[in-house]
Amino acid sequence: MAHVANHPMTQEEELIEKLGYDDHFHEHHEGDRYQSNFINTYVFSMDHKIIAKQFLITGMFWALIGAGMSLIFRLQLGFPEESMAWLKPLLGKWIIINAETGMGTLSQDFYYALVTMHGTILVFFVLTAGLSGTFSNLLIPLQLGARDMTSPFLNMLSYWFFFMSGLIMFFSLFVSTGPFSGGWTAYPPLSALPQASAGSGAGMTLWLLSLVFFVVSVLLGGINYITTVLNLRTKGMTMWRMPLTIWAFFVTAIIGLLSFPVLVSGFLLLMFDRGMGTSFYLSEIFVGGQALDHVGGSPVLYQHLFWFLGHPEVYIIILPAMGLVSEVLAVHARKPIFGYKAMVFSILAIAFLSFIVWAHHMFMSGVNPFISNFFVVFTLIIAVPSAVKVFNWISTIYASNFRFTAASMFAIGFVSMFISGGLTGIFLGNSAIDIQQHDTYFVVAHFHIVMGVAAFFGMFAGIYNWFPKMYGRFMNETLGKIHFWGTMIGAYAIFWPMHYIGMAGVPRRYYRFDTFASFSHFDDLNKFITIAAIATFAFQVLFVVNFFYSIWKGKKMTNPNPWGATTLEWTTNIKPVHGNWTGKIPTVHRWAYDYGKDGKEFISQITPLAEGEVSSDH
Amino acid sequence: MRITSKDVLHNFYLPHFRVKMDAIPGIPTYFVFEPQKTNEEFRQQLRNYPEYQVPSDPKDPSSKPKWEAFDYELACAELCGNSHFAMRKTVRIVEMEEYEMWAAQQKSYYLSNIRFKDEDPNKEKLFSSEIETRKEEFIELLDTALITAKKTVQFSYVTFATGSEKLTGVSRYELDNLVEAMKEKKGLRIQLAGHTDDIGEDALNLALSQKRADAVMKYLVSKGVDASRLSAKGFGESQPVAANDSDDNRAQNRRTEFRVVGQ
Repeated sequence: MAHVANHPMTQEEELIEKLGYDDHFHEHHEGDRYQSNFINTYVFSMDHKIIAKQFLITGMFWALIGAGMSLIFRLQLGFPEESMAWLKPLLGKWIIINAETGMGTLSQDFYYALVTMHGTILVFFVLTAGLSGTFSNLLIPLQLGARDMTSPFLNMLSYWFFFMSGLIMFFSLFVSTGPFSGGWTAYPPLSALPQASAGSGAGMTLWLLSLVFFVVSVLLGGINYITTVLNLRTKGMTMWRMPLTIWAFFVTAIIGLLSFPVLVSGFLLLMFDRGMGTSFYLSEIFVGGQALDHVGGSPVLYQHLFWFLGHPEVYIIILPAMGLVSEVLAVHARKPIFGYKAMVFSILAIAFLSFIVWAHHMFMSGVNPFISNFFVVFTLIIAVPSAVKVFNWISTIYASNFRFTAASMFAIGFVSMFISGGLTGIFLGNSAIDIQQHDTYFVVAHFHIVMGVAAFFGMFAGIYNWFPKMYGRFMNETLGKIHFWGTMIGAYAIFWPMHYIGMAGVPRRYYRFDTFASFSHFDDLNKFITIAAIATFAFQVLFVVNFFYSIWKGKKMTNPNPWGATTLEWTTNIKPVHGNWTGKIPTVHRWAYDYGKDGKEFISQITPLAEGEVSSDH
Repeated sequence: MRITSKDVLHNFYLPHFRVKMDAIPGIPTYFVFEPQKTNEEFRQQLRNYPEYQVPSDPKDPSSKPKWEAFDYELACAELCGNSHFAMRKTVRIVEMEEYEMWAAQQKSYYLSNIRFKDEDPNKEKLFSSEIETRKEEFIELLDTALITAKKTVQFSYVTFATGSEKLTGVSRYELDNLVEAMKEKKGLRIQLAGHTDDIGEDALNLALSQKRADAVMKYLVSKGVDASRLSAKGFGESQPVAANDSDDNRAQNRRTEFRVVGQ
């Protein structure tokens, strides 16, 4: 199909027209039934770019709910003596009003439900679906020079399974016994016995159902990402020419495909124990002095199955963020990524190691201490590829003419968070030190910084950087920078003090601390953390406002390649059409990181090697 | 420290000792640690710090100073339900002697609550330590009887199935002690006597007591005691040792004895 745009051809368009590959896509799909009305364009869309936006906005919805929950339980922890009666209109019966004093207290059941839902929502809905779902969908076809995913239909199903999963979880917030309240890890017997706590009844049933739907979504998405990367790379896009984002999404999908089914099988056995009288996880339990019939199971078995997903899951969360950050740093440093191959191999090494470290979550679970040795060693070895990556990021921006934008600042912030959180991981990875730190605020601080805040930073870097690609407009830079500084300072203000509280031995998941003389003398720190959390949340509201304002009112994009990037997504129209490229699909002639080469600021991947030019390919 | 749970997962957490281990239903775990300071020693140490001089209850100025109210604490470090945050116990670390004195007075749950009850799987037999103690007990009873005028020994552990002359499993241990004594003291001759309480008809009780005395004699003979050294007589309810007015007293009256008739 010939060039149809009504403006003069850009250099990119000329190159694609000259060297691109004609797959006759538009002859088959122009004006096709896949995007003929509002419903199939914006709701049940099979276009990866729309699906990416659906994942992102759903993820943002859940992020606000999940973070809002954390504010409520932070209020409880920071100001246990203050009345929460003002939250009664929102939380209803979960705020218990003292008839005499009018003092409103948060119900203990609901406190634990909030903690549980906060974890579940943030880990699965926001940082898995919202992060990987958004950017894998957006960038895999665009950066590989593909028209769409291998199976746009499965891709659509992937989103709607996620949506269903969220809907079920949302319903569970409103059941009369409350949502599940036994922690996001849902350890049995608490999760297996409906009589064990209020949330273990209907709330837990819905929780399990929701997460099974969620896993279906992840698997459908993952299969698509993997097959697209393997099969739909455009001509010339060898594996070693792929941007690091794609490597990260690719490996993430593989990890998900290998580990999520194990979680489902674990859940299946849990459902049997709950509903069919089996005893996979239950043994010798007394309820009200009466022994239950369950004999011979092991609660530790569940923990193995859970963490066999649970640990790879943290890499499912962090690898896409690493990929985004690598790309954003290289683009804004105007330098090739330092050690491209080392970056790829460290992703692969992390992925491999992520499968053989799961029991470091279980040092205090009664597993054999000699087994722990094995897991300590591999856990500490993960520090090696992680350190390689950190070294390469720093080397990439070292002595560069760095362009400070909201996106690139969040990418630097990611590196900072990853270092801070990674170092505390070395403490926790030691089974002997973990005796003191296990299940304390030290752990809370560690994983929030290293996979919570860091992954969010990666996500923000991605959003600010690719927002123009998604909506054809820019987000407001000033608000973006305010958002960055507020989040950077706020996040450290929240989580830094938690390290001290944790080192002092204060356990996590406590409704209040005044029952123990050992834990009750951190009131001031807890107040400080709560205030910091509220302030940081306010900056996220600023981000959301900026995001939606910019969709409609942001500064319009005039240059199709605003950041001067080499990768293929910037060679499309400002608003890429269905099928991404209006004419032929581009072919690739070089790797993704030709920045500052031969005196040129950047050379797009679609540019053939100049005469006598030495390829920088690996 | 052996750790177990009877309902959900808990975690045995002693913050002062950096001890932490999950308590798992069905899978006992353990944690070995050696405390260095008793509660009292630690309190004396805390006494040196000004922040421990303040009242332990900030609302009550007359409460004990903080150092004096100090206790090692036990907490739960594994989410276990809505009262997770309040699972507090205190821990007392004491000197070895005090501990041993305390430990000597403790009886295991099994021995104090289950032993010889219906749910005890071992109720029909004795453990070697019990055999040992009961033997000593019996020898002392016999020796005392031999030097007193009455010359009667009441079996402490010989019992029968209700309303029958069938000896219970644990009865044989005491009878075996008697067999041994009779083999040692060749001249010993005894009369076995059965007694009942006043429940039921006199004649039936008399017959039952006779049968029971006979059953004991039969057992002794089967163990190799010459029948000529033994005789057996039932007394029914005619010789109570206590008034038949309460369950306890009636239990005392249901008894088997033997009287030394020649040595």
